[in-house]
Amino acid sequence: MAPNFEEAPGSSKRLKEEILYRFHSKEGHEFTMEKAAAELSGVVKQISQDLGIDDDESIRNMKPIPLINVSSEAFHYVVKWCEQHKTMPPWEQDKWWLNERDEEMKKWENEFLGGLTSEQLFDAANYMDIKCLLDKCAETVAGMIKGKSVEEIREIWELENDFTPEEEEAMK
Amino acid sequence: MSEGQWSGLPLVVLESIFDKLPIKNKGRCAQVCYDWYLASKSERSWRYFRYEDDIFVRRKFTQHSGWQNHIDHYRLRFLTAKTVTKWKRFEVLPVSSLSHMYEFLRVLSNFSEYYERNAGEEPLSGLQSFQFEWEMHVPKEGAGVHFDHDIGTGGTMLAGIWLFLQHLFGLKSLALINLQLAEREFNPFMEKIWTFFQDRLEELYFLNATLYRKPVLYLGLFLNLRKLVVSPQHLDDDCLILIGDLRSLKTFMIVQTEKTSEHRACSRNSWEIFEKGNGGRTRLYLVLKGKGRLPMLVQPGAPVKSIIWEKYNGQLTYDLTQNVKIVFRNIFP
Repeated sequence: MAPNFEEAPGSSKRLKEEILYRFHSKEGHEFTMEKAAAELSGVVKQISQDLGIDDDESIRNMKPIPLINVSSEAFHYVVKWCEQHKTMPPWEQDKWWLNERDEEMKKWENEFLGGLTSEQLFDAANYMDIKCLLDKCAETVAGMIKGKSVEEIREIWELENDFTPEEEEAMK
Repeated sequence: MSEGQWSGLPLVVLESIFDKLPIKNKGRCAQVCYDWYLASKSERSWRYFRYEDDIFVRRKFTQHSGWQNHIDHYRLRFLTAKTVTKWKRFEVLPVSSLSHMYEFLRVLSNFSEYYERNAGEEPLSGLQSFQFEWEMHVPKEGAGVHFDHDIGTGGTMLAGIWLFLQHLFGLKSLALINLQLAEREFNPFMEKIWTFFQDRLEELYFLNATLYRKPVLYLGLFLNLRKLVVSPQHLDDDCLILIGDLRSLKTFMIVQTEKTSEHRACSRNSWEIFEKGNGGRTRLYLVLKGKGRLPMLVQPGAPVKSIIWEKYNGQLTYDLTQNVKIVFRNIFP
């Protein structure tokens, strides 16, 4: 029998074996994500629940999920993140202090987010409801805010001071 | 960082950022703009509170002792009145000024007591998780050599902790770490804790409550426990059998730290009974933590799920591998 060349990664054979969700980003690019990774997103879970999609075959036949608020650049990072975290135990929202990651994962996360906590990624995490990514982004931003004065924060994040002078006085 | 509209962040996101900020920065961030101000007042921004050194403290000058730090009751009043009801988790880290911590806990207890008596409310009942960690070193001189003497808590401080614990009606998770109590103080304290929390607690972290060997039978009597983390010196054969019978226990960790010195493994026989009574509903972990160069305490015949070395810089010795094998053989029969 001739060797099967179709088993190379990225070929249609792979698509058949793995269960992949398909997505459309804001710019209209198509992305795929593995089932376990995609289901980190609360939105994806909700959508497949609402559509009554539970078996692998119907996931394959599903139309791409349009993500009108997520840019391709941000989604590229989201995919990377989710692939890395797909084996993590489910995120505990009410008992968040139990969510511990091992050293290796922490190191990976810090390298991953080093300098790239863009507002886009943050927004994407929020829009797709990916709890662990949102948490990590918040942590990074909080780390950036720490020890800065009010004026500095306004400058860095380009925020307008929309308090009236009286309100401002009252707060001090 | 890319150009983005940070001002357009949804409230939920802002809240999750505020949640991560230390207390010192929260007030400052609230002054940035109106959205941030709103976020700072929300439930979620205050769900986690951590007590550390130098918070709610101000310098004060007195004639007899010069400049000194005092706890700032004026600001503390705002904290208790406005945010305490939003707390879900409260952590007390090891601090250097013990009097401030004691006073802080007393203020909280008194605040809660006042509302319980006069308004019939329980302001601290929203608190689900409380962690108290103790660490204190006193320099001592022995035989001409300086060394750190590590001492535990007790006395007034312990009474203060207990007074505070009594107001936590909604507590699900309790962590008492490195209390290192003396014999005469340990027994009544444990008894009080058990009577108050026996059917409420779902998680109990009980590390180095004493340094000497002290099996605690009460551990197996918290009936709704789902997670138990305990030092090996608090276990003996009888405890183990009781713990094995806990209905909803999912995770059971035996944690050794550098402070853990006096310990003995439970007998093979008791582990067999544990396994039989448990029926495999509990996952058992052996954990080694900290800087010490202790060997791992191997529980013979224990149905171990995994062994965890955390921050451990020792080496895997031949003896240990020989011992660990016993455990592994048990996992894969």
